[in-house]
Amino acid sequence: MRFPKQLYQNERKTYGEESIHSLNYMYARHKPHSEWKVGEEYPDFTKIKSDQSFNWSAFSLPVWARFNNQKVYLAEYGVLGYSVYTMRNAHLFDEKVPAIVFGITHKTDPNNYSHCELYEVNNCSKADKRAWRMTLKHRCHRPLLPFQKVTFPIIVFGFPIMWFHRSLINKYIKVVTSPLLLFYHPNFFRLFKKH
Amino acid sequence: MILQPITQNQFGGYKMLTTTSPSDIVLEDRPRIETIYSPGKNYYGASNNEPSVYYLSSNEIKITDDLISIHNTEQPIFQEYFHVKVIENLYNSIKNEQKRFQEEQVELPNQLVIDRTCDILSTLSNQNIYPTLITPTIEEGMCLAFIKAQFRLYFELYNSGEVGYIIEDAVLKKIVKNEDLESIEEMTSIIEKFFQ
Repeated sequence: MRFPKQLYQNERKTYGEESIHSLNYMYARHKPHSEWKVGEEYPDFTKIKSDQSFNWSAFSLPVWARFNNQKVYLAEYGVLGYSVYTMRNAHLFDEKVPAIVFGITHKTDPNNYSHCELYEVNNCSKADKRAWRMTLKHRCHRPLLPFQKVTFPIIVFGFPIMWFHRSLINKYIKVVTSPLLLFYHPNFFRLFKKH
Repeated sequence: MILQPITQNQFGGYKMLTTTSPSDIVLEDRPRIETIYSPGKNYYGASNNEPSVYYLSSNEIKITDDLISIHNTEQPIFQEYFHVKVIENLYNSIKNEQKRFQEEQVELPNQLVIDRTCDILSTLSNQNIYPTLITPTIEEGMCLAFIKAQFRLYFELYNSGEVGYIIEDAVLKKIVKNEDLESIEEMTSIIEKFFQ
């Protein structure tokens, strides 16, 4: 697969953390066998880093997360998507996770404009990081499994999704779409359950 | 192959009976192998790189198609085989991750962690407990994982000297317990409680 031109930084600006909408996703690649055993649903917990690098869904398709910094396409890697909402609100999904563990910063790379990194908001203990990593493992979604071939529909449908995620940077669209976050809240659907 | 508990046995484990159907395995929560003997094969059949009976703390037990019978042999010989194997796994896992960790600029487990892990594995080996997974953790240290039904216990020993564990319910996708430990000695009692 050819390296996409859209990933070059090309003197584009870096966005602040407030531009990263909670409806966005962060894509991360995971190596097969050692990180993600073939046939397993999720990567090994021990290989999910708390200061992992990600591709921001506003500027990257999931498949582009397979490119490393040297623009080499690692076709065998799986790609996971982590919801920004989950990253910011992991404590809502599991009471064992403390509130506000990590923040996300847009840290561009010349060969990866979508590159983001995590940073510690508070002094986190090892227990806090473990809980956060485990919640991420439980709440991730899997756009690409290890060794999964990328087909034409995956690319074609990926672009409108990326453009939608990018539109969320706009502050007016951000305000209008914020109520959608209610659907992400773990207790939202319980409100409609019969008692 | 049905595992029947032995209550009075000094090893406190299960005894495996012969069967013609290796797929008929009913595994208890904590299967243990007392001893194994594979007719027609080398006593250390497992060392010949053929699927054989071995024990891990999870339900991963692989059985040959041969009939397997059990008889008491000297426990230390059998135990030592698995102990050596698990220490080999420890060093192999570090070797396998070396290149990738260097690329990611992550430190490999240091000597302190490796020594502590060896001590823990020796202590557990005396009780016939072996981790399902031994691997360097991306948080710089070593991780030992144990599985019991849908629960998974991960112990992480960090290069900084800290130790902690987390238990997840892999079916409900929830964290059951998550603690940092004061000392390494607490690990074995927690592992024993996990299997009770």
